Amino acid sequence: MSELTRTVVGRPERLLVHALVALGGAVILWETASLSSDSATFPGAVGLGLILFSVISAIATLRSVSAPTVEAPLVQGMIGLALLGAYVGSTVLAGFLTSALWFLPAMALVGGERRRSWLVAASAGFVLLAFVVFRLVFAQPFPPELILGEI
Amino acid sequence: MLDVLGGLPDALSLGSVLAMAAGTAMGIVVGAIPGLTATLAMALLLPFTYAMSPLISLGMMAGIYNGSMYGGAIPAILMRIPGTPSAVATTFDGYPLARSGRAKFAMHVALVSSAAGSIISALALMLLAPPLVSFALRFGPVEYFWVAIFGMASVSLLLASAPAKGLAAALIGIAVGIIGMDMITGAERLVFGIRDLSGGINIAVLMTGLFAVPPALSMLVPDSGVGDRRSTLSGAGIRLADLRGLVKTWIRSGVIGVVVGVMPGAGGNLAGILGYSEERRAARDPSLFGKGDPRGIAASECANNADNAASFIPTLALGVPGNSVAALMMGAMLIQGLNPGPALFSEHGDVVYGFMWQMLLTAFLMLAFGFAGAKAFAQIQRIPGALLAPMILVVCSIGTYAASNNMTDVWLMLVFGTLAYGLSRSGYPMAPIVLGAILGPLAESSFRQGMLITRGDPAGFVSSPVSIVLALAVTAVLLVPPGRHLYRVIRRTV
Repeated sequence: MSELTRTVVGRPERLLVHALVALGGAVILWETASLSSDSATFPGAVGLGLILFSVISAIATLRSVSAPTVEAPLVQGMIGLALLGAYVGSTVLAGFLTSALWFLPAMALVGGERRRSWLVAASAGFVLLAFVVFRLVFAQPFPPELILGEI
Repeated sequence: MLDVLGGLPDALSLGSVLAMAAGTAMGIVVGAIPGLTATLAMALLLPFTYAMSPLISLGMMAGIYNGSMYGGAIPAILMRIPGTPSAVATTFDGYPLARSGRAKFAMHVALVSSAAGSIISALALMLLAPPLVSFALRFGPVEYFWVAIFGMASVSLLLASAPAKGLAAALIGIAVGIIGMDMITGAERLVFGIRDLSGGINIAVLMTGLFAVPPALSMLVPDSGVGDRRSTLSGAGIRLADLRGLVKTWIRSGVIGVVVGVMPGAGGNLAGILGYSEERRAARDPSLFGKGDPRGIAASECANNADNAASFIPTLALGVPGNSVAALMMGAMLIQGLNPGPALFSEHGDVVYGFMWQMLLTAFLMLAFGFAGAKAFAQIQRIPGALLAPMILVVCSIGTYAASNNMTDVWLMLVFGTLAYGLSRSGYPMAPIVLGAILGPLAESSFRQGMLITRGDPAGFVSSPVSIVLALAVTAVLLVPPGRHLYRVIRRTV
């Protein structure tokens, strides 16, 4: 992938990420304050290290302008994650495969796929295949499906 | 050597052969699709391995690893797009050869060279891991503490674009690894009142989130290379006489791949580039390289496959994975209740040696599938990435749920995926996070046991020859970034 698509990540976004890493370190330090010294030594060192290294990274970021990335652009990535979150949420109500019937076309549309027949056929085919595979291969129960019953 | 031979019958059982065949085919398909990597495929498979026996899950993973390395050469040759990062050097001569009407020949050279590299690597694993285990039997908690620190430090510093980001990534991994109950004092750490976290984080959930979610999201980009329609397989295939001319190349590149594989932090991409560079340097007529010289394809493909099994030498013998694939493989073993390290060889020799044979046998399966299905594999790039991405995410979610029957784990997978996406965009590497999660708890428990043994005397951590060597190795690794910086400054001023 690294050789295929490169987008640029701006300085504010990178600084925000370093700040969040430092915040994570601070939360770990705060959480370990209530522990005995034996249990607190390692997490405490981790918390301190996270703050230290994120500060170093932030200083380096301030000296640079922008950096290339191989990851999805921010808009597509955030929409994709939001849809994934909605999908996981809807599986509790409708099941993994029933929810996939809206999730697959929605994500494909975000990815630029516009052929309706492709979307319908691929979504239905994948759900049917997954239903057969998981029903045959796995014995453990999944959350009840809204339209396909328990798998 | 007799112990090694003992693993062959298990590796040849029907279930194992079917698992290797399925894994190899899956690996070639995954490698042939730009954007999909061995780590993604293994991360997807990992949660499902709970329901499998050890040699079935390891056989599938061995097949995926070897198969994907060859699969990466297919789009590299046909479209000048490396299917996996390890196939970058394959594009240099593969694409010109394909453009000259010899695509089939180029694909065959890549296939046979990949198989040669995998065979050399598996033999190195069989020959080098057992002596390393005999040596590692002398290790106590102090030595294991240094080994764990060395593993984390070297991977963090060598994989990251900036040392501070690599080390921060390792610390994030350690923080994830120590979530849950402290095994010595019984105190709950970093649980934040969430009852489902008190048992710790499932390593499969972490790995699926880190290695499957960001690549799937990146496939949503229309020009990600997936869905390309330029693939054609032209010309005649390879002849036996052509193979004879490549033997020296395989030996050179195979050795380079094995050495790179054993080194923590290095990987198939480095092996491929080094193998190619060395072949070009050693050639009498280097002017042909870059214009369609089959030796260029052979060197790159042999070296990047020779890295595969060799990367498991420190993983199996010491319990220290040197790259993300080795960490995933170690995760698969931990899921099965197998703890990599010297004890594994005596307690579960059938699995360890069986796995070594699987790494060897999948090379032959790759050869068979590659010759039989070259045309079909060449068409795989036509699958649109926009459709593949959500399918991967659905399988991730189902797999994560199947591992524990717990929806919290699916939410955690989403959290780790989001974390990975954000961190990765800012240049934080993912492999040190996994290594931190695996080796962090080992380093902590070894440190605390060591302190008890040495009665709190820090000098006890550098009292044996092995611990001194390991401490020096850690220091040397930590000095690499400032040394590099100093070298650049001196060069600029001179």
